[in-house]
Amino acid sequence: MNSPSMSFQQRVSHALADGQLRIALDRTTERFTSNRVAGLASLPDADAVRDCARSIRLHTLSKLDDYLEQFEANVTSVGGQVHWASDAQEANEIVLDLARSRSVKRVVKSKSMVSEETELNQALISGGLDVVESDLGEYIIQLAGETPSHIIAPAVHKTREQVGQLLADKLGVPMTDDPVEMTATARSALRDVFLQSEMGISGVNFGVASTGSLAIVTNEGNASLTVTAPRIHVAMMGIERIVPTLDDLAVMLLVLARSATGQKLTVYTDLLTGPRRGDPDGPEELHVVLLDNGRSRLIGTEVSEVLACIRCGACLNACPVYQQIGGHAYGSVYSGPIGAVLTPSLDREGPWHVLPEASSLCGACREVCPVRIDIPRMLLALRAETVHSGKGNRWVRVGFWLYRIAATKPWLFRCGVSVVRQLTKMFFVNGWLLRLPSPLPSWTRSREFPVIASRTFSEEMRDREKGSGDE
Amino acid sequence: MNESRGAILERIRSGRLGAPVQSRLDPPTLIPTKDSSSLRDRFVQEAEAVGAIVHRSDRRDLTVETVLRILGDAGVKRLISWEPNDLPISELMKAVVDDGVQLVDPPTPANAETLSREWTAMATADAGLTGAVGGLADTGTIVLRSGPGRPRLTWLLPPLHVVVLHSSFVHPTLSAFMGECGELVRCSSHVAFVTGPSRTADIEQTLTIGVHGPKEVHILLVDHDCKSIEESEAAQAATVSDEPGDQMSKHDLVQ
Ligand code: SF4
Repeated sequence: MNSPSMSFQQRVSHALADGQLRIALDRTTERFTSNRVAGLASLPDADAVRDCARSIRLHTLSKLDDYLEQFEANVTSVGGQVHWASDAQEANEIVLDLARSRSVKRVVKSKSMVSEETELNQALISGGLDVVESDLGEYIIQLAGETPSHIIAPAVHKTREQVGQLLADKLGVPMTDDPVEMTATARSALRDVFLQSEMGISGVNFGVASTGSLAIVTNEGNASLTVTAPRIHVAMMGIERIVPTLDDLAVMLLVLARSATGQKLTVYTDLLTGPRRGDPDGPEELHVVLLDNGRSRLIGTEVSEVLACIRCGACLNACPVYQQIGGHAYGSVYSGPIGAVLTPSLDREGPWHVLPEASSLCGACREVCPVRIDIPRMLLALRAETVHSGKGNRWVRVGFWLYRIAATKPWLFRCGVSVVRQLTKMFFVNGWLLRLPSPLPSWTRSREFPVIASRTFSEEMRDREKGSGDE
Repeated sequence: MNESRGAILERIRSGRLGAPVQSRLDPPTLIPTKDSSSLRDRFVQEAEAVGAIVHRSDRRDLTVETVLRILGDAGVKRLISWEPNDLPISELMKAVVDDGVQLVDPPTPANAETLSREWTAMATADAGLTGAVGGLADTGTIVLRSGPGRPRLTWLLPPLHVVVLHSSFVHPTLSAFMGECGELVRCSSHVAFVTGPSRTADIEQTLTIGVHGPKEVHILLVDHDCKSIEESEAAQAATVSDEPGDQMSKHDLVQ
């Protein structure tokens, strides 16, 4: 995973100061959230469906090895090929080798978070290949030379004016702020790309163990074209994205579309079972790349539940932190609440231990999650792990150490309170301290410190007891 | 590669050591109704809600006439169509040609270079004509399957898609379809569930229709006798079993 050059705090300040980003986030996360509510409301028994979806995911994970073997056997029996990759580099090499040995020059891609995770595009481009993203949002991002900021709406951080300017600059079309016109421009630019690429690379929403089928969903139809027109289809899939049967798939697709965009079913829901068989079109070769990259290690740990995620994006839109800072501030491929758990779990050596701190633990993510993943519980587990491994902030540790001493000796606690009260009184502005003295100013960088009340709770209680005794 | 396979499976096995297999809950029944006329009404309502245009017909000649009118209104000059035997009404294609619409040849499996030329020719078609193997009432979805004589680009490339669906093929939900027609998925390389025209909301969540696939989807929901449905399904079953890839029955799959 790409390590960001700025610190998390710097990225957050950057995001908060970006006026355009604020407008874009305000306009979109709210719409997403209300769509989702409407989508789930249209299910007669949404809670029962979510319970069922959760049980399917947890069941699958509890015997993932068996299902993976079954999936592999069935993909092979319908004429496809399965490749296993332990890490990002191995996955990219597999794809690059396939491309080289088949003299591929042009590659068209439909959105795949796994390929973002492995940085496949960079690998293919430095291998001399032409790579074009076909999802409209990804295409915009690729033209801008950026990375996606949302699982299902990669260009959510851009306003329409910014997109119009970008298309004008890069494609030489007249500037417009009309999304309809911009979409038409992209449609015609991407037509030739679909028809002339030798290889199509897609993600996978679910792999069905009992049939070896791949389920891939898009509203635009770009994945359908990506897996139909080119001669070779390469599907990039995380090892956890298995469902046992077609019946299970039907339940998962039901909650995925509703949670992601509020639709009842995604416009194009494609089920691909092997390469073409005497059909006039469709790929001649089908390759599935199964990526581990830290996932298998999570089975049986406190955060194994994170593997149940179906990448619907609902928790991002619901998160008060994501709503303020957007996806890029997280600095990782997966952002929002799920990213704050997934990123440090998959990449234990990376600089990610601050991400679980970026949460108020309000529980909105758990509330909206279609498979009821307990994200707050895992955020706490990861925070505890950070403290135990000694990676936490030194001053926080010192602070808690001092607090423990004071809190266990009432006389000391009382003295401490009155000293701090005297100090804060000297510096307060309207009841708040704007800046704490060293070594604590980082605490007040994003919030104010309250002045300690002139009478503490225990002083108040003591006086009351005295009063009632007098009666 | 094999090394990774072994290592990945081994890590999963040692992780789940001693943990019980979790059980799966049964999905709740969402639309219990089996009443076929309310199923059809629901299908029409949902399909229209997602932006498809539904035409109902109870006479073969009316169906043909409606298709010709749709193509005429849209000014269609060039059409990609499935083979006559793969359409629910086999005379449809001839009627369209008699009406002066030019047919674009479907791609033939050939070498890569001529193929991309053929597809570029296909991309000039104004409309695609197909027949659905199913409809889903609670989502307004049509189900299409690929196969010989049924190119996939027909429902993907042209700006207008005309699809004929026999009303007896309408299922209440996706779950019901999977339960009854799972075999179709096993024996087709591509089964597409299409719910309305192609759309995107990638620019500020503003809904825009027709980004990569069709801008307009016309569904002919027909009630009349479609003799050729059984005929064409039978014919297809025959061609399918002639191919080595399809010899595989569900018993060959690892359960
Ligand atoms: S954690 Fe839940 S809500 Fe968040 S993306 Fe995954 S499935 Fe969706």
